[in-house]
Amino acid sequence: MSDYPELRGKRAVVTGASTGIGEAAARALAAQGVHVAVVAGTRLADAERIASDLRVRAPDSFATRADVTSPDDVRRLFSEIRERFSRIDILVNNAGGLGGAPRRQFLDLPVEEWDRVIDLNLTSVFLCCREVLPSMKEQGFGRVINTSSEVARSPVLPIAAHYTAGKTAVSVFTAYLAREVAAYEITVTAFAPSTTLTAGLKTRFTAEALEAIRTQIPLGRLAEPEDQANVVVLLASDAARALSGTTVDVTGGKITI
Amino acid sequence: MACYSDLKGHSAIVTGADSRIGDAVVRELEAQKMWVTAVPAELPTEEATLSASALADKVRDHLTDVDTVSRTCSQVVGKYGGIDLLVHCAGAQPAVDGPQITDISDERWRGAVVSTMRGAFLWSQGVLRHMVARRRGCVVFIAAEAARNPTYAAGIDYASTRGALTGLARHLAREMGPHGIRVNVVAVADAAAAGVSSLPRLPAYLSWATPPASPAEAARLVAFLASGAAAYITGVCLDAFR
Repeated sequence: MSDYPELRGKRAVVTGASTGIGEAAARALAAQGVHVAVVAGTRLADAERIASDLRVRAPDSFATRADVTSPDDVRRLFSEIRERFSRIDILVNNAGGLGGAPRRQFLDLPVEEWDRVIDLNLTSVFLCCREVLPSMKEQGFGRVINTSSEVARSPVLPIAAHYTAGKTAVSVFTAYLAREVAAYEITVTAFAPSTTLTAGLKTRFTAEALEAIRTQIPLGRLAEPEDQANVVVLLASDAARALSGTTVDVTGGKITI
Repeated sequence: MACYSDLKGHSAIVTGADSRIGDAVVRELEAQKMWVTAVPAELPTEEATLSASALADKVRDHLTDVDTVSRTCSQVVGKYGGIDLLVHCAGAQPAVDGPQITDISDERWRGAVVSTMRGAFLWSQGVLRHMVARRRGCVVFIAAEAARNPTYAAGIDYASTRGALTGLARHLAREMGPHGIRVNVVAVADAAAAGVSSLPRLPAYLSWATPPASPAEAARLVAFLASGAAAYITGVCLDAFR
């Protein structure tokens, strides 16, 4: 297992952490001794269970919930986190996805669904960054890590247009913000997962569908959540201190160049 | 000036026609003898120099209202027999005061997300319904230098929402390709979009001091993408900045 001793004792916020890649990222950070605020959208009980596990290695970890698409709730969230953590070193903006929306053809997409998916994937990242950056600037250190997607590099049908637009915007946001805050020893990076074998994915896709996706992956297997989490930990570490503004493809070779 | 004779007599909708880029696009397409419906982002004023062929809809929120988009598209189809081109220029504009993320209010962010992204969604969905039926058409989104190579502090709301359009274009290029429809992007120089010679730079970032590409130069790329000369080009972003 990788060891990044410089991460020990740092404090991280991970949104969308009650399941999937977010959960794996929270667990991987805590395994390095990073105390984690495990932020759930709705599944607070799952977040509580995860935080309880994390406290074995990272005793200040705790669970909370927030609607990260709401400016007021994000302000409340960070005020709550600051009562528990003296500082925030790492922000992982992982909340996102389709929010339960079905995959639809573009012409069948209702505007309400467009708005909801854009808010979940893009506005949430803006709101959390805007809250955390003043203190990161003041302390002269910060790692912002955004979850993008392979669709930001190459659209995958039938994943929907709003998700592709939102995740592309996350990668652009990452590049822009990285330059805006570069003078403060803050790095802003993103990682772009291809289809990742989360518990949720296994319930939504048939074995045949997953096998069809697998055959498109040069490395010959679908990513596990831990594959993505390993990259989150890398991006949080000093080993990645020269990386900023970039989106790292974690696609088993599916996306290159 | 390049002339694309196949554009003559075809119809185009240009949103955000009252922006610097939008105005240049309208002029270019009219020079190519297209029938242009210029849809301004704001209510036309006395000073506004809108196209003579404009069907300017006098509703302030029309750029992001489902019914108005649908009605405007139907009007254009009724008048010209179809919609051959949509150029979506409307949306967030570059800031000239070098804002940082903490300067972006909730309202300003919301405005960018709605006008740039929801606007692009609604207008492209509106025209594509007609284009799919005719099995032809072309969409061009206007993105930004800030979304391709952020050099100037034009605003993260402007950069990221304009950047979203490159992803939307790539998606639509794939989904609409089988219907004979092409979807592309022109990324315009931030200073040209703002109508200034230069903008505040992002901190600690060095760049060559080159004059910004003009709105007219960006508009010429729009005409190229709309023409048959670009028949095999879809899902790309042409960078109209130096």
